[in-house]
Amino acid sequence: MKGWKPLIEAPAFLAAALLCAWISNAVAGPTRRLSWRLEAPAPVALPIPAPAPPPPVPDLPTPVPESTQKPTRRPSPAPLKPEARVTPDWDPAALLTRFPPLQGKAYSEISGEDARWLQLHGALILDARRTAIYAEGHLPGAKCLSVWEDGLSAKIAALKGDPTLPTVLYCAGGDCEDSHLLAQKLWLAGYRNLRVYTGGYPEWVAQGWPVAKGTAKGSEP
Amino acid sequence: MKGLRHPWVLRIAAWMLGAAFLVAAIPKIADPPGFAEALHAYTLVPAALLAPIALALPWLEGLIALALISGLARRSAALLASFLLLVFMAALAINLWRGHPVDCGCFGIAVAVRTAAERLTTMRWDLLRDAGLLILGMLVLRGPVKDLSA
Repeated sequence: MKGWKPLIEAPAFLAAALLCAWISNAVAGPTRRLSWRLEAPAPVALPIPAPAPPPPVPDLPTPVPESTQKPTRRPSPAPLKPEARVTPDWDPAALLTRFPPLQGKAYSEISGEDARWLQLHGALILDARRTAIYAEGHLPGAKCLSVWEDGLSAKIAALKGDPTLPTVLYCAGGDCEDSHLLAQKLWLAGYRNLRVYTGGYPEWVAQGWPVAKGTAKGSEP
Repeated sequence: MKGLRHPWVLRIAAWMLGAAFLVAAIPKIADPPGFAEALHAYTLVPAALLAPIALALPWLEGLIALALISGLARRSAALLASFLLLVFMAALAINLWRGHPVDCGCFGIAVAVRTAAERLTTMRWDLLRDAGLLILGMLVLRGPVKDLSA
């Protein structure tokens, strides 16, 4: 009979593991809790996720680019200085002029220069990384919307951003997909001007642009 | 070869395997969202199963570890451990074959950003480590049932 014991014991192990997982998840804090039915990674039918479109090209060296988008690549823009102002200026007209709502695609990928410009003009910025990593450093004004932590839908519903204004999403750069997953989720929530900053936080830091730390501001939408 | 079936050899093999599973389980139990992210990177698990696996698998590893160390249901624990190791090795091997670098997620959640080449190299070592653990599991499984108590 002893040879049959694993047939009984193995399912018992599995049942015990599920019970332990259920209890531990129920008592876990919000940043350690995982929804049993994950919201973000499910594949969704989106309009063609576009590869990086060429950024809008200002014809003249004006301080605030106001040109419409053109299909040519911008000649390498002058880098923004790290000591540039941190507090963004809320300028929805400039935001919409340079980054109009996207047509026929869920999101577009943007460069660090564009992300910096959007940050300086008060665009909504969302950090898709984990809360603990966000607390160590993030883009100024960014809100934390980790795609892996529980309550993502509620956080998105609580966002007060205008879905037609550009929204910047970023994560850890490289092959990090969290910002793309968040873009899918936001597109389903009605956001139509999503800009994924593929360089992400590491590139931002490498550029020497200002960062913010902690979760007191921005962790909750 | 008879020495490999000595009760103390079996016990030490079970303890080593149990210790490895315990060390693997604890950081994942502490951070299910991080483990779910690591699992997602493998692109092998259907979205609907991602969260249940990320939540339950670390606990299963932990319970297997406790059974291997304590001697309670040690044979079943060794059987499950060997099965899991085969699954882990298959997941790593498939991604190596694809040339798709992933952070193993085996003994915790990777924090440091590494290059694709570095991760592919680490994956080969992970595969080798899992093969070593599988040998321990098979050793425990092949031992006489009467010698598998604590």
